[in-house]
Amino acid sequence: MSVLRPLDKLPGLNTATILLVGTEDVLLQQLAEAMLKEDCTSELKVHLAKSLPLPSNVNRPRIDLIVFVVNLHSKHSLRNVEESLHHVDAAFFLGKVSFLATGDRRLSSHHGAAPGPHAADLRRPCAQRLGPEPAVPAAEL
Amino acid sequence: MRSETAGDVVRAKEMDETVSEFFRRTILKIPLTEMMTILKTWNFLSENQLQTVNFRQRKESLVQDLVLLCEENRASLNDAALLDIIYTQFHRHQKVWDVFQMSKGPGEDTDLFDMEQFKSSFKKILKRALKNVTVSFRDAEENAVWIRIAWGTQYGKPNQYKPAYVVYYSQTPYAFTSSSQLKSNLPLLGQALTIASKHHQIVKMDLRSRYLDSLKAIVFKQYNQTFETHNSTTPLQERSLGLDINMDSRIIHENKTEKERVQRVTQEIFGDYPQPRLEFAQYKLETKFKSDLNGGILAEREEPLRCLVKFSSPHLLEALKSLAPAGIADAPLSPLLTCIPNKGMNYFKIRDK
Repeated sequence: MSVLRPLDKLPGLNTATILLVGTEDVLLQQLAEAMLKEDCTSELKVHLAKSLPLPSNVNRPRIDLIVFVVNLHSKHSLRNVEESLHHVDAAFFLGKVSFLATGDRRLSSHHGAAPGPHAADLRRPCAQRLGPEPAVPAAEL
Repeated sequence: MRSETAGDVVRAKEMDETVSEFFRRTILKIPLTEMMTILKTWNFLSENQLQTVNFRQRKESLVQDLVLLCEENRASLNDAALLDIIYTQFHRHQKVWDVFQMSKGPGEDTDLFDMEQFKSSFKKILKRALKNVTVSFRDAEENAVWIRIAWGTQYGKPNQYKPAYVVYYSQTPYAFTSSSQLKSNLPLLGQALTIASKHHQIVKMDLRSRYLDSLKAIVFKQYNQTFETHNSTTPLQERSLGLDINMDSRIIHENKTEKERVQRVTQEIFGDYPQPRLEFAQYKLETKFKSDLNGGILAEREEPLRCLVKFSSPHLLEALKSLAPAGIADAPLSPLLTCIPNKGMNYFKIRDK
C-alpha cells in the first residue's frame, strides 16, 4: 500500500508543494488559484488529486502540506477523504495536514429546488473551517 | 358587434362591457417595456392611433386610453383573444406545456393538410359539444397554429381568464398544450384535435416543461446540432464545461487521465451543443423490496414499495451534464438520467420486470 511520507525525499530548492485532495475538482481548482495569488517566499506548486493513493508512475516533488477538502453536502466526499487517510503516514499529521470543509453558504432556494427535510438542514450548516491541526493521534489511523 | 333591435342593444352593451374588461385586464398584464412591441405585433390599433397615446404615463391611465381606442375601433372578443394569444406567445414560459402525439390509423391516406379546413373543423367540433366556447387561431411559422380556447358550459359563458392553448405543428403529429386548470375538457380537446387534423388516435407523452422551444427541440430531434459559430475554433477540452485547461502551470492535476476520460464520456453522451431546457425529471418507483440478507420484515412484504424521486433544476440537463466533471457523480451517469432527450420523456415509471 503506497503511503505518502513527509520526509522520504529531499526538499526542492526554494520550492513548496501543496497537495489538495478532494472529489470536487472545481473547488480544488479555485482553492489552488487563490493560493497561488498569495505572496509566498518559496516557489509554490499545487497538486490536485481526487483521492489517495496518487498515481505511482509519476515523478513528483516532496509534498510539504496536504489539504483534504470535504464538501458538507456530500457524504461521498467525506468517505473519499476517510479512505485517502489510510495512505498518509502518521508523521504527516505533525503539522503538515489540514482539513477544509466547504459548503457553508446558503442553498439558494429558486424555483424547482427540491423541498424536504434534508435540504432544510443544509440551509443552516454549522461547521466552521478547520485550520491545520496536528490533532489526530497516530493510533487512530 | 352592434345589433339592430332595441332589445339586442342592451345585450350588446353588456357584452361590450365584458369585452372591455377583458381588454383592460389583458393589456394590464403586458409589461410597459413590451407594450409597444406587442401592440405593433397585434396590429389592431393604427400607427396614428398609437401616436396619440402617451406611453410614459402611469400604467392604469395608459391602459384606460388604450381600451378607449379599442372601443373606438369596435374591437370584438376575437380581437381581444388574439391579443391574449400574442401576450402568451411572448410569455410562453408562464405556462406549463404537455406534449401530445397523434397517429393515423393503418392504411389511412395522408391527405394534404388544409389549414382552413382544420380550423373550421376544430371549431365546429368544440361548438357542437359545448355551446359556449371561444376558439381563436393565430398562424405561426413552420406551419404551426396557436389555438386559444376559452371554456364555457351549456349554460355558462366562457371564462376568458382560464383559457387553454394548443400549439399544433401541422406537418407533424405533435401538439403542445398548456396545462389548463379546467382539466375536464382535456378529452374533448384531444378529440377535436385528432378529428380535425384527420388523425386516428392521440396519446399524451410523458414529457412536460415550461420551455416550449425546448420541448419542440426534443420532440423534433433538433437539439443535437453543433453550432458552427464562434465556439468551433476553440479546442474541445476548453469548450467543455468551463474547465480552463489554459491555466497556471504551477497547478498540476494528478488524475489527468481520469479527468480526460470523464470529459470524453460526458461529451459522448451529452454532445457539444447546449442542452434543451427542462426543469425536472420524475421517477416513480414501484418495486418489491430486495435484500441480500435472509428474511426481514420488508422482504416478506407482498406489496411493492412505492417511491417518487424528483430531480429539479433551473436547467436540468445542463446540471446533469456538469455532475461528473464536477466530481459529484461518476461517469457515465445512469442511463435513466441520460436518456431523457433521446426518449423524449421526463416522467418515468419503474417497475419490477
